[in-house]
Parts: sequence; C-alpha cells; structure tokens
Amino acid sequence: MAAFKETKFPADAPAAEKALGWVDDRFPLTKLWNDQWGKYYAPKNFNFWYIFGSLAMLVLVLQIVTGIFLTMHYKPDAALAFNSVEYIMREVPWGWLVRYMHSTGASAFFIIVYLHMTRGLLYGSYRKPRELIWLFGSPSSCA
Amino acid sequence: MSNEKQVDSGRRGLLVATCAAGSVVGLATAGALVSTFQPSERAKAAGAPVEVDITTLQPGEMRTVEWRGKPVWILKRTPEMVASLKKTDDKVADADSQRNPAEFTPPYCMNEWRSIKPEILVAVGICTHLGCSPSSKFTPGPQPSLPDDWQGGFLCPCHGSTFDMAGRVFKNKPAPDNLQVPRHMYLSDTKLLIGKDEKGEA
Repeated sequence: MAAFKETKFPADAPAAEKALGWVDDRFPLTKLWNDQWGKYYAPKNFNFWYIFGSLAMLVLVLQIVTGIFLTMHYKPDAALAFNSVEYIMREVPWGWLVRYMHSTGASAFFIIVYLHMTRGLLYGSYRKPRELIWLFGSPSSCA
Repeated sequence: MSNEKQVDSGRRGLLVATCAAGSVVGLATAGALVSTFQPSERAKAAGAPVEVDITTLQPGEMRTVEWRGKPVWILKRTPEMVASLKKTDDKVADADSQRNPAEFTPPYCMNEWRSIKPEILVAVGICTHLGCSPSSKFTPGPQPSLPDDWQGGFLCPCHGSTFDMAGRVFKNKPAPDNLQVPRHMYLSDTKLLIGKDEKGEA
C-alpha cells in the first residue's frame, strides 16, 4: 500500500481549493469527474443523434425528482387518489407544472430512449470493444 | 493545454449561452419544486381569521364559531356573571393568567375577566387536560358533579375539570391551565375578528 501523502498548499490558497485537495487525497473526486465528464474523450464531430444519451439521463433525473415531490401530495388509495391529484393540479403552488413535467417526461423518456437505441444500431455503438454497452443498455431499457 | 489557442470564439459564445439558458431553466425548475412546499390557498383559507358579528348576542348567551377546526366560544356575560369572577378569584389556580401567557392568554386579556371588554369572553372551548369540550353550567348553586358554592362556569364531562365564567381552571383539577383565549380584536363595536390582533395573525 502506497504511503498516504497529504497535499501541501501555500498558506494563502483559497479555502475551496484546500477542501478539494483534502477530498482528492482521500477519494479520487477530480479524477472521477474528469474521466467521466469534464475531459471525457469524445470525437468533436458528433451529430445530433448523440444527444439522446445525456438527454435520457437528464429526463431520468427529472422523473425521479418530480416523482419524489409528487408523492408528498399524492394519496395512493382508490378512494383518495383522484382528489389528491385534483389538489395537486389546483391547490399546490406550481403543482400542475410538477405533474405535467412528470407525465410529459414519462412520454419523452420513451421517445428519447428509442432514438438513443436507434443511434446505437445506426452507428454500431455496440461493436468491439463496446459489447458491454449493449449488454447493460438493453436490460436497463426493459426496467 | 496545447490546443488552447485554437478556441473558436463563436463556439465558446454558444457554449456560454447554452450554459446560461440551462442554468436559468434549472433554477426555475428548482424554484417551482421548492415552492410546492408553500402552504396552498386552501390551507391558508383553513387557517384564516374568522369574522363574527355579535350584534344579536344577548346577555347570558353563548355562541360557538369554528376557527382552525376548533370551537371558539363567544359569551356575553351578564353583570352577575362578571361579578361572580370576584368570588372565584381565590378558588382558581391561576387567577391572573400568569402561567404560559404566550399560549393561553394574550397580554390584553391578562385581567380578572380574561377579555378585552369585561362582558365579552372569547375562549377556545377545549379543555386543557385532554381536549374534550366542556359543557356550560351557567346556573349558580349546588347541582350534580359541581361544588355547592358553584358560581357558574364550565364543567368538562370527561374528567371533571371546572372552569369559572372567565375560563379560569379551579384548583386541584386535572386540567393544568386556563382555557385558551385566542388572539382576537374588535373591528367595530359589534364585529369580532378571531385569530388576528393588532400584532398580526395568531
């Protein structure tokens, strides 16, 4: 095991830089960010088909977040559900927007995922050495 | 980086515009989500102050109005009822309403009759013991479940707590406190507003 080495900062370094350095000494946060996102290696001539992957990610996060906010007002009971949805649409501040984001997002997610899969088929995104991408993607599209 | 010089200023401009538009949409979405925590108009209406017209309230008559789901009594006391408060002064546990005034007695009601006008009592009709609604026992004199020197007041049917004509609890009863006097104010001589006073809403 490599010896632990604390990064030394000049005394006048900003607090944020010191904090990030403290984390990076213990967990490869900056490296993870740059490998997966910040300096992710991608051709610069990607066409519009390639946007659907990150769009699907965005809509997935939006579905989870709006879903959590809707559950705070929704009553999952056959007798109470309709009134609670009516309450969300008419009384909860901006509740109509959150519900419409959730329902439109659900439809958009299907469209986006199908376009994302079409892109994969069109450009052979599953070919060696990227077989695992297809093997991960197809089960998660069923879920 | 080696290609730092080749930055296309047109593309950099697009990138900045995209990030700006994206963060505006993101902040707006976060704002909409957080604002769903705000109380709805229906919830605000349910907790709103209640206006009561007491023009037709006769001496000795009590009216009950609902405020925030609680029964609020409005009682116009007769001169005899007001006079009875003198006699109960040393029998009640907290004659001057000193105990926990923030919850039970607004400053303008910290007097013998616990009200703004001596004859008009405004109180939440819920026993401070376990939340039953006490019954009116306005007739003085001995009667079942009441002491022989009864001056008129309220009796809680659940555990026998007794309150005088100002909602002050008698000594050695299960109820720990006087009946709550909600914050209230007079809009005119005959119009009461319950749940709001000069200092704002309760």
